[in-house]
Amino acid sequence: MKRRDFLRYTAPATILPTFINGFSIKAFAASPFLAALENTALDNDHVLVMIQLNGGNDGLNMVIPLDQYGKYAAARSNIAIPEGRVLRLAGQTKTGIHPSMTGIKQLYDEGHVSIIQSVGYPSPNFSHFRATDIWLTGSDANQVLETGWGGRFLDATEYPGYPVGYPNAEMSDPPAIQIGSIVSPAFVGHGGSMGMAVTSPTDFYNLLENIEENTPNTRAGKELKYIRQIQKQTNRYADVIKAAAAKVTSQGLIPLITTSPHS
Amino acid sequence: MWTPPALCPAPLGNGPEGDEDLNDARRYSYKAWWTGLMLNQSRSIHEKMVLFWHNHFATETQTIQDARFMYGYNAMLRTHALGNFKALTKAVTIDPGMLVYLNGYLNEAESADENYARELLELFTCGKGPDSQYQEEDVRAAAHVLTGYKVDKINITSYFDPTKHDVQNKQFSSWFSNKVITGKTGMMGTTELDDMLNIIFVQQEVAKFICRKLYQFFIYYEIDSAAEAEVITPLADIFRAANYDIRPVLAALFKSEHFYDPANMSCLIKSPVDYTVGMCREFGVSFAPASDYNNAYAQWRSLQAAAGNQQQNIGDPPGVSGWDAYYLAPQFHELWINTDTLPKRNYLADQMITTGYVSMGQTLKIDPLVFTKQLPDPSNPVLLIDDALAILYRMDLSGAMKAYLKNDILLKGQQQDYYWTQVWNIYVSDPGDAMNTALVVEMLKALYKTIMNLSEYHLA
Repeated sequence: MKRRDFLRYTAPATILPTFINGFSIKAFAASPFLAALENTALDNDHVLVMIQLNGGNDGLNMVIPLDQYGKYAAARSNIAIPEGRVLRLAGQTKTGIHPSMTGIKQLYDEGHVSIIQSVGYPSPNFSHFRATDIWLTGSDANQVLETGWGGRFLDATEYPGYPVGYPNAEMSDPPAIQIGSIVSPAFVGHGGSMGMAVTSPTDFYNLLENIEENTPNTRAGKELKYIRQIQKQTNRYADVIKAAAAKVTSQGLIPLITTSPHS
Repeated sequence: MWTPPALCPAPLGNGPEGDEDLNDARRYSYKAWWTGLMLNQSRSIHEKMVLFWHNHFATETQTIQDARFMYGYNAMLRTHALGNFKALTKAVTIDPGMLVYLNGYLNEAESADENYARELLELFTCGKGPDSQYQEEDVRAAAHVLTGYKVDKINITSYFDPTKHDVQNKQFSSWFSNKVITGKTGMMGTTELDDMLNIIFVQQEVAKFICRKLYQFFIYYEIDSAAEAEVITPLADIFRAANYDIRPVLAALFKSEHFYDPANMSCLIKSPVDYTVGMCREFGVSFAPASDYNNAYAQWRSLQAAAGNQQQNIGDPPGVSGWDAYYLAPQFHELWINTDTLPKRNYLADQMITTGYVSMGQTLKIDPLVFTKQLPDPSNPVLLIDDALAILYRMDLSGAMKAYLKNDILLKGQQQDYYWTQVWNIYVSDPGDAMNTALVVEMLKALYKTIMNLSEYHLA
């Protein structure tokens, strides 16, 4: 999905099945399915919805420093947004947003949007992949991590030892769910990915029950073990996700937007 | 030297650019055609290498847009896939599809675009391992070397515009021995690309980087220090000694003890293309002949879409670094298998072996008799299973599992092997006995379905 389409996309409940079945759509949109998951969570449960937009973004023309407009306009005289066209935000005069972002402005004025400025790190890296890795793993510029910040949080604080022992009575839900067929590196914990990829929650295929066998202590055995584990997981989370999908009602997501000098 | 097969509709290379709908339709044909080539390949490593180079020098048809450039990029890869890596790198650099994909056609002296130059160093030649020490200034210098290349949509080619080329000298970093490429005016500006490739290919790391990728593609993702010293380093030496010809490296790798070491067998998880194309080839799934192109293209397209569904859509990797499974630590090829893709893989196998995989108005089906008839002694259920597994799996199953397959699946709980032997022999002597043949088919379907459902089937 093109980023521009995503930012202005609204999803009526009726097209939910085609949306979730459309594996080619890797981005989330306002999804009744996610809202349903949110509704099934208890009051003291925390559900964080992350939306990653890939590609380059001109952050300085998206969130515009009105309190320094002169310097802003001088620095980019050829592409600065004219001062009169910058959208004002309720309750403050220092910051405005790009004229196209009328939807976000409305949400902001209603109190549903926060903007976090200058999210970044020293010595930013210019490689697309390294930079993305840094964002998703939460590493320093000169540090390479193989786990994601989401995965480490879930791993260490919430679900130690995952995936061994999960799901269980205390935690029957997958720690993270991603709509689409790939799980983001952000969710990689020490035991591998803590996210579960879902296309159609109501269309899971029931697999043959595996006969429990020891796997040889070889490379092949290691991979076999991994595949068998996914076979089992696929079965066990199916009920939870089906139940959540059955409770689809209306939308109700609260977006959180971060900006950085190098987004 | 590879020449385009007769399957490719001749006008495609000369037709007009057309609108978005036309290019979408051609994109589907292009991917179907490519799948058809893989399905009908001879006993050669060529198709795997085309896929390897597509993943390495990645482009996305969704960005290229112009179907004639999509095809041209593929044809270029095919020509060089088993040729010379340095020549391939040059061909990729001036390929119209790649010039569009990484903005090379916008790279001019007045406004240099570093996109291709960065990937040339980071992804295509030097890599970003600890021994790759190129600097930002090298990216800038490379970008300026590459100013002035343009694409021609009338003649479907690329060309060099000297008026857009930066004629200043280009200074490289200490890692490149502070080399300077003299800027040249006029058409001589194109020789700066050769100068630059000469500088890059002096680096020892280039050969190692590519050899590591070949190792991970064909053997396993993990390269321990023993493998680095005893396999990668000598392979890289062979690569350099061969002036970057690809065949000697592959020959050395595929004839090595390391390749045949049981510890390195059956440990690669099949990519979706391996899985889908491999399944059809090993079971002898029949497709419409190429001359019946309406049905052939639709069937190839249906299979290609299934692999795309499983997250390997040829022609459109997720980005310029190719598919995650080939490089992303720590899981690498395990990324092909998750709670979404595994059911999809199993679903395809189940449909193929039962009712047929129905998609896009076509049905793809495994005929279990075709596969079984080629085995040495199918009447003996023990040998039937042993010989079938020898083809379909790369690792042994335990005696208990094989007994389960025979007794619980094939024989459905019957106590005697002759229950199978009988019906198979009746089939052989009288295939016209419809009820008996149907029974044989049902029993074989159950057996092969179970074999494909087990995790072993996903390993290569």
